Amino acid sequence: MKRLLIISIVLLSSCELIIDANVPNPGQKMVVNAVQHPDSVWYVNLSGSKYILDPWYSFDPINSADVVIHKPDGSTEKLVEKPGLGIYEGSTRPVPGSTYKLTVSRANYESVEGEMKMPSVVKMIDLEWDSARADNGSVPFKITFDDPAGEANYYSVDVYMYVIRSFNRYPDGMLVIDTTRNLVPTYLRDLGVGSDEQSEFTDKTFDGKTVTIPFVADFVLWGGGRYYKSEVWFTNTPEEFYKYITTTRLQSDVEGDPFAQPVQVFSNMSNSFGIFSGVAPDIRTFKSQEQP
Amino acid sequence: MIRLIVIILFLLPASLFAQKFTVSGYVRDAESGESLIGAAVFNRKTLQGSAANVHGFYSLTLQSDSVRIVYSFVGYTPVEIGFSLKSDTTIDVGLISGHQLDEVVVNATRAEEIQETTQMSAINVPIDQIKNLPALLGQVDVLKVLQLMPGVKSSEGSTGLYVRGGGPDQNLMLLDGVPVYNAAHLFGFFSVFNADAINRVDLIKGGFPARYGGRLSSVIDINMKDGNMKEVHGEGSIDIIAAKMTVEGPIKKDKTSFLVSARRTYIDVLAAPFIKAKADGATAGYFFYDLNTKFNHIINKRNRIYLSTYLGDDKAYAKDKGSTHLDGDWKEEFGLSWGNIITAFRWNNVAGPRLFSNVTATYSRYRFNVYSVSESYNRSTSQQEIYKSEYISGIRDWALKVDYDFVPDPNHYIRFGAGAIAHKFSPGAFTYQVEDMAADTTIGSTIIFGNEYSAYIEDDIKVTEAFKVNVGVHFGGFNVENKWYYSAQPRVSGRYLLTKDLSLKASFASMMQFIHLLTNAGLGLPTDLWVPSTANIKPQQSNQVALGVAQNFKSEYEISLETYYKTMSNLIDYKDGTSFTDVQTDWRDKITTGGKGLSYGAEILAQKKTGKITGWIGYTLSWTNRQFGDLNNGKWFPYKYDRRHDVSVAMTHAWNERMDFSAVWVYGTGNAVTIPSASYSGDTRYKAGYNYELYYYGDRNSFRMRSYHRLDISFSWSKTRKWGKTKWTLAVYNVYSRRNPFFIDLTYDNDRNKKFAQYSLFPIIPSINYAVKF
Repeated sequence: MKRLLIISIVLLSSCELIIDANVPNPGQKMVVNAVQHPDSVWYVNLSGSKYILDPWYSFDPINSADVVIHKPDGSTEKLVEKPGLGIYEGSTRPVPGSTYKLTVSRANYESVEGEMKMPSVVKMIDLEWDSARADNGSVPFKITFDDPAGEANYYSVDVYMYVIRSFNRYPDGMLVIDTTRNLVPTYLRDLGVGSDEQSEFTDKTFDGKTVTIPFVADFVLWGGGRYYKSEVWFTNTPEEFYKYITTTRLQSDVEGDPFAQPVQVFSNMSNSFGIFSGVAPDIRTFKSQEQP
Repeated sequence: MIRLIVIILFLLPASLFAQKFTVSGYVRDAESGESLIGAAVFNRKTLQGSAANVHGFYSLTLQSDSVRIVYSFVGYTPVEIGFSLKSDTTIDVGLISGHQLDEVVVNATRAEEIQETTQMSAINVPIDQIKNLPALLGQVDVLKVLQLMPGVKSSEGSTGLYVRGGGPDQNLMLLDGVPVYNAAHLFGFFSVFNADAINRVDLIKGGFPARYGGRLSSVIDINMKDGNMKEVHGEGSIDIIAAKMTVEGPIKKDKTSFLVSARRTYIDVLAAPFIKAKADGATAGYFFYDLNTKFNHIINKRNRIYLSTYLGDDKAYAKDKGSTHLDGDWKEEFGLSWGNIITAFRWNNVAGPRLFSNVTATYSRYRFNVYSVSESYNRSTSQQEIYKSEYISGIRDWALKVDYDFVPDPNHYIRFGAGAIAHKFSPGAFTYQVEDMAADTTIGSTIIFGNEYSAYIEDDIKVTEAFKVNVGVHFGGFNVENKWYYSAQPRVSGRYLLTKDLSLKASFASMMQFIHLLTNAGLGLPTDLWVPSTANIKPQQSNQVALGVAQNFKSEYEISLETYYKTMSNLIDYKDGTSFTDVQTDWRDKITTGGKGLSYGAEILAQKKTGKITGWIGYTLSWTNRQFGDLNNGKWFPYKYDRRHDVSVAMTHAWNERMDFSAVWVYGTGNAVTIPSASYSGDTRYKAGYNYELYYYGDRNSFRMRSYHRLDISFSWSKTRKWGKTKWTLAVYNVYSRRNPFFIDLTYDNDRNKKFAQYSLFPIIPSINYAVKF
C-alpha cells in the first residue's frame, strides 16, 4: 500500500527540489541519558544536541559539568567524570522505591533537572520457555506474574539471544549477542494494553491480578549461527521510561513516511532532552546443551 | 425557539389568506424542460415575489387583483403574464435561453440578487463558467472550481475541501440529495462529479439553513440534470487521459426523459504495451470510470418521480511472474479499488398551490479494497505456497426523508421535514490467509451499525421591506452501540437593506456531526476511514457566527465582505506517529478524541456573472487552530490548512461566438507542517538499537512550507456544424511551472549533506480537449 502510493506520487511528479528551508536553529541543548539499573552505580551520559542540518554524525560529549544526585534523605552525591567521554558515575546505587532528583549545571548551558522514582523488581512467577525451539529461530514463551495492586505499572519484555557464528578468522565460532526486536505479544492487543509492534505494556486492564502473557521471540540465525543461550528480561519501569521508549520506537517506525504525523520523543528533563529514569529487570537465563 | 416555530406553523391567522389566491407551477427551460432552480417569480405591480425551488416549483400568493407575473432567470428571456387573479392558478412556464439581461430582467431578477437573500456565506457557480475555466489534464472539475472560492482551502492535486478551518469530513456533499462519502478519483486529483451531467452547484460555508444538517463546515449541493424532455441531445469530449459522453432525451415527449453520462480514463490501455515491454512481462495499470443515469417521469400535473444513480470505481493493479533458479515459479499480484454507488428515488408532489413535498429514498455505498497475493510453486516437489492478504473498509447508507415547502404568502417561505439514515460502517478489517489455514485471520474492526434521525423547520420571513430573516431549528439524533446522542441546533440568518443595492447580513448556526473521517494525508486517499460516533467518541459540534455586507452594482457585479468566527469541539485526529498506510491497526487505537478547533477570518468576493468577461476575485484572511490533550503537549497548534492569505482570480473572456479565453491564478500561504529542528543522542544503555539519533520537532505544525501559487490558462475554439457544435480547447496548467510544495522530507544532497527536499506534484502540464455537442 505504502509502496504503491509512493510509487504513484513519484510517477506523477518526480519533482524533487532541494530547498534551503529556513528552519530556526534552537541552539545546542544539553542531552541527559541517565537510565539507572539497580545493580549498577549511578550513571549519567551528557552530550549536546545538534542543529538538524549539522553535517557531523557524532554528538559532542559534554565535559566539566556538575552532575549531582539528590537523595531522599536530603544528602547529595556528586558524580565523577570519566574524562573526555561525557560520562559521569557515582559510588552508590539507586535504591528501589526511593525518589531521586538529578541536577546538572555547566557554563553556557541552562541548568537542567529531572526526577524519578526507582522501580522495584516484579518477579516472574513462571516462565515457560522451550529452548529446543530456539534452533528454529522462533520461540513461543509465556510469562506469569503478580501485578502489584493499586499502582500504575509499566512493563517491558526483551529477549537477548546469544548466538555463535563462524567467521573465516574464527573458524571455531565467535559469540555474538542478538537482541530480538520482533516479539509478538498478540495477547497484549486483546488485553488492550499494548500493540503488536512493541513489547512494552501497561497494567491498566489487569491491575492487581495474576496474569499470564504469551509471546513469540523471533530471531534469525544468520550465516549458519548456532544458538547458545538466551536471557529473558521482564522489566518493571516507571511511566516516564515507558513514554520515552514507546515514543522513541514510534519516531523510528514512521521515519521516512511523509504521510505520518511526526512523533516527539518524551523527556522528563527540564531545559534539555533525554531521560532520567530507572529500570528493574527480573532476568532468567536459558542455556543450550551445546556450549561453545 | 420551539414557541416561535409553533407560532409560525399554527398562529398564522386565517385572515392573512382572505381574498388571496395563489399562482403556482414550474419554471423550466423551454428547450429542454430542465428545472430552472432559483428562477425569480414576482408580481410587477406589487413587487412581491418568490423563487423556484430545487425542483423548479414556485408558489406566489397574492391579493385578488389584476396581476402581472414576471418569470426570469439569469441568461434567459423573461416572460411576463398579466391576468386577473380570482382563484388559485397553475402556470407552468418555459423560459428561452440565450439573451443578455436587459432593463426588464434587471428588475425581474431582484429576488435572487446577493443583497436581497437572507442566505449568506453561499456561492453559486454557473455550470457553464465551471466548464470554461482551465482544468488539469482537461478534466473539468466542479470541486476544483469550488476550491478557488474564498474560505475554501485545498492541497495541490486534491479535491478535498477545507472550509473555514473545517476538515474534509465536515463537508456535506450531496448529489441529488444523497451524501457522497468519497468524491475522489485518482487519489483525489479529480472528483467524481462529471460536469456534463450537472445542472447546478451550490456551496454554503456558514449561516446554514435548518434543512441541512449532519456536517459542521459546509454544504455542497449538486443537482444533476433532469434529462431533456423535448428532444435527444448529447455532448462528449476526448482528451489525453479520458473520454466522456452524455446523452439525454425524451422517452415520451414532455412526459418521460432519460440522461446517461459516462466517463472512463484510458491511461492503462495506452500504457500497457510500454509497461509490458519495459517490465519483461509484468503488467500494471490504473483507470477510473463513472456512470450517471437519471430517469424522470411526469405522472400528472401534481406528481413527478425521478430515479438517479451514480456508479464509479477506481482500480489500480500490478501483476508479475517469473521463475527462480531453484526450479520454482512465482507469481505476485497487487491491487486496490474503491468506488461509490449512489441511488436516489424522488417523488415530487404538489399537495396544494402553497404546499410542495419531496420524498427521497436513497441507498449509497462506498467501499475500499486492497489486496495482494503471492504464490510460489516448486516444480520438483510440487509444493505450492500461497499468501493472500486483503483490507476492506466502507460505509453503506439506507435513507428515507421527506421535505415540504409551504408558501403561505410572499412574506413567508416555510420548509420542514424529517429523515432517517441507517448506517453500516465497516471501518477497516485486514485479513490474511496462508495456504489453507482455516483460522479466523481478521484483524481490525467489526461492523458497526448506527441510526441517524433528523427533523427541521425553517421560515424565511420578510419582516419589513428592508429586514428579512431566516429562522429555524434542526434536530439531530444518533443511536449507536446502545448510546443515544441528541441535539437541537438553532439557525438564524438575516439581512437588512441599507439601500436598494446594499445590505448588512448576519448569521448564527449550530451544527452537530455524528460521523467522522479519519484522514491525515491531505490527499483524497481511499484509505481515509469513515467512522461513527460511538459510546466513547462523542459527536463533533460547532457554532459559527458571521457578519457581512453585500453590494450589487447594476446586477452585473456583486461584492460581498464577510467575517466569521467558528468554534468546534469533540474533534478526532490520528495520534502522533499513526500512518494511514498502517492498515493492520484498529482505527480506535489510532485516534485521539476531544479535540477543539477555532477558526476566524474575513473573506472578500467580487464577482461578475454576466457579459463577455465573467469571473471573480477572492481573498481570504484567516486563522485556524486545533487543540488536543494528547497532541503537542496539550497546547494549541495551527491546523495544517491554516492559511493566512489566500487569493484567487478567475476570468473567462468570450472574444466572440467562436473563441473563448480563460485564466485562473491562485496564491496561498504555505501549509503548516512539522519538521525536525535538532537531533540528539538517545539512551542506548538499556534498549539498544532504536535510538542512536533522535529528532526534536518543536511545536506541531510550526514550520511553513513555501507559498503556493499557480497560473492556468485555456483557449477554446468553437465551430457550429449542421448537426451541432464542436470545440477545441488548449489548456496549460501551471503556466510558469512553479514548483509548489507537496511535502517536505529530510534527505541528503549530492555531497551527502543533510538537506530538506521539497517534493512537488505538477510542473507545467499542457492538455488538449476536443468536444462535441449535438
